[in-house]
Amino acid sequence: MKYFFIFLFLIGSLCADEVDVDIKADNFSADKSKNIIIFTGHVVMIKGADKLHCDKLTVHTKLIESTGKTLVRQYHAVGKVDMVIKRPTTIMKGRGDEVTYNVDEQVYIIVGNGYLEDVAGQKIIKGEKIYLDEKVGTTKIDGEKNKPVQFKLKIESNT
Amino acid sequence: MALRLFLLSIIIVSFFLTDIVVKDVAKNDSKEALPKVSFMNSTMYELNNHQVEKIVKSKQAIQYESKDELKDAVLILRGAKNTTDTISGKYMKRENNAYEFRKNIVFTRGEDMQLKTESLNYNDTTGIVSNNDYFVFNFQKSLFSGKKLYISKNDFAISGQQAHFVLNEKDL
Repeated sequence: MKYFFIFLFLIGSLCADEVDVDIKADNFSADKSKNIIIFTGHVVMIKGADKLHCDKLTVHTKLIESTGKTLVRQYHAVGKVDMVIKRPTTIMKGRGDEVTYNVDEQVYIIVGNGYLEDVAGQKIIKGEKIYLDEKVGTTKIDGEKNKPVQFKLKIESNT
Repeated sequence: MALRLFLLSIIIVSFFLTDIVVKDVAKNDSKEALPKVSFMNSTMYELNNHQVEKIVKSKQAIQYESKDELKDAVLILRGAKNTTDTISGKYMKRENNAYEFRKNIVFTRGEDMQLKTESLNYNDTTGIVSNNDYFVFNFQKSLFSGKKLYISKNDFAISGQQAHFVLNEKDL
């Protein structure tokens, strides 16, 4: 039964920043030797006020040998990715074919039909590749030849 | 004439029937079904050089030629690091190195960890724990439930279906 503990420590790394995590999926698998946890089919992850829906979520972890703790290195969501990220001043809504979040860099990368909405700032960004750097607070957008970048600002009219 | 035909048909049928080998199924079954030893309301202790390693309690324990069956059984396993694991269930079977647990299975380790399910298989040779039923695993305030649990001790792989995790960071 100690393998349950190993699995829990792998999974536990998902909530290393002291927020409870609720994950539902049709299938899951964890491979300690590869340091990955894979959830597939109707994946729903709720972490505090943040929500993520996708078809497949792969969590890459790393072992910190000095402490013996396992931490999340990267989240990689694929297939109809839909996410809501709550921040102190706003709510960010994102969609795309793939979303990667690198934990150390605190960078979200939305790839394929990327959509990012800053609800409080009333800004909408569309592009093939959207980079959202949470550490610096910047956004970079890449378009494609047939799919130029779109940037929309909602401006309230005084009339 | 009819009587002759009838007798002739009996002879022909009996000729073919002589080639059919009748297996001694009943004899083999009865041999397997006969228990070598059985106990009622028993408690068995297994000792090593240092401590009581295993305690097996059951309302009925039956030992056959190639398997053991326990009904309403409780297994208490003591680990080297003073851990105590308890597995209880309505029915348990051990055949070679394969263990089968059926109905109302509760696995506990101390007061913090509990697994409940209706079936659980463990193969000591392959190191694989598996089941086809729903399971609920509680670890302090965290919950992990699902179906078709698979744990491989050898390659540290775990999988399942219809997974639901509610993880409390204080438990980890």
